[in-house]
Amino acid sequence: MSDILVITEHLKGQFQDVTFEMLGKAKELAGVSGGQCVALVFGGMKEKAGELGIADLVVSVGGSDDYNPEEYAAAVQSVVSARSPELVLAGYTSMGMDIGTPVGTALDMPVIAYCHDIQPADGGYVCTSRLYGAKIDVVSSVNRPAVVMLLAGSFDADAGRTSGAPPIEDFAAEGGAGKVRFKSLIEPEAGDVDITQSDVLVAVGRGIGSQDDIENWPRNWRKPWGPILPHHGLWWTRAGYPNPGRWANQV
Amino acid sequence: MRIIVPLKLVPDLVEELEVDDSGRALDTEYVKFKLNEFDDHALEEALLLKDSAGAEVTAMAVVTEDADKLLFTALAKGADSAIKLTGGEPKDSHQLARMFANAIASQGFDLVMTGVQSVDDRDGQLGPILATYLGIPCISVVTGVQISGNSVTINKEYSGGVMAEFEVDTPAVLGIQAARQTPRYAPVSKIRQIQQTTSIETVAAGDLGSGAGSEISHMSRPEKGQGAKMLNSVDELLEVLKQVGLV
Repeated sequence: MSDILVITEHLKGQFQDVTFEMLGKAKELAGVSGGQCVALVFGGMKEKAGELGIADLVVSVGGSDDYNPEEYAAAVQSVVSARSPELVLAGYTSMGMDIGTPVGTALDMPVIAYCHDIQPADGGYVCTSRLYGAKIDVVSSVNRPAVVMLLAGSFDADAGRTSGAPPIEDFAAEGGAGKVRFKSLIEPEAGDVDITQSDVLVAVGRGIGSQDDIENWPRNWRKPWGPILPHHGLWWTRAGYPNPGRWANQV
Repeated sequence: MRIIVPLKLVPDLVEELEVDDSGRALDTEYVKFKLNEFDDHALEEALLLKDSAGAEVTAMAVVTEDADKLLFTALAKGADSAIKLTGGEPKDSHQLARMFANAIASQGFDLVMTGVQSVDDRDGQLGPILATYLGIPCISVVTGVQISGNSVTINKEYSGGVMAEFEVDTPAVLGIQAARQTPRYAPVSKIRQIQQTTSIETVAAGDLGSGAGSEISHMSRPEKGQGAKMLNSVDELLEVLKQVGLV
């Protein structure tokens, strides 16, 4: 079939932005392939299918509301096996990594990761991956059903954010072998700031001089902005990357 | 509990990277290679489990010019044994995973801990491919591991600082994002001492399989944006913010 299947992502009952990015792109690609833009949802998220109005069809596999890598990957694999989409889009995200690569590998489908652009070409697709620390773009050609894992932020989420009433199809999916069990969700520490909720971020480094220099800024200058990220007290992950959930000093 | 840690060399991104004349591969003539930083964290997390729960740690790498140094360094850091895979030149993540899977399946293990990703994973990350070939579960973006009997309790990072705790039956593959502490350093003197007193086991790679199933048609540097302007003072920053109407 020439369908484009989007593996939706949700957290705490909300579809993640990458879902809408993928749906917008999938709808565009389905327009060329002549197939349907199909959204696959998990758990009780079919109740929010109205947010996925851009999809031609929503396939609900049920299962747990809480993400489970083993269970979700098994469900996706059974849907892909049954529906044989031309393209499977997953996020190159914490959740998408656990699903896209194993499903593609298990079904002997090419997997393209780190993808930030995908275009139809010569009956197949041309995918551009941003590799080597974003120093090199690698263009891959696939001419058979494939799994493409998209970098979040590559496409406009608003293009896929359309309300509507797409038809919903329940699918009796495989549930995994029960070797992975969700225990609990761990929220960021209460004093932390979620920078994804701010319209404007100001990041400062050594040039600021000292933390006092931030504190000394007139408060009415700081008001419209989101968190200011000082070099003192900035939390870094152990991998050396700033952890978006652990910024200090909210203004 | 036996933990196997596959190690992979990747181009050092401090170096300037060039595409070769074919336009479809990196020009590696002058590129320096280094251990994938996420693999370094996977090794560290495995060694922490050795320290806390008595796990046995085996480091594994595909034979290359620097493989011996890589593995002796892992031994100097505290790995109990090291295995070098010979007889294959993997061209992508799928072939590399097939090599490791062939060797790991013959070893007996409880956990495989690998870096969550590497800078050249065009066709997917090693961990999930490896897990699929071994027929066991995989969890990626793991930041903490604790052993409890025949299972492990792990933390997995989501976006926005949210994490989830999972219980995973062994055997399993874990894609490590970050160890609980900064990867330890092995002094050169200790590495040299290990080289003189310890040997590396060699295992044949076996069948590498058909690989990624997709072709690289072109490689190039990304198109540049408009560039960044470096500011030297708070006053300059405020001036810019005033110009865009934010203050």
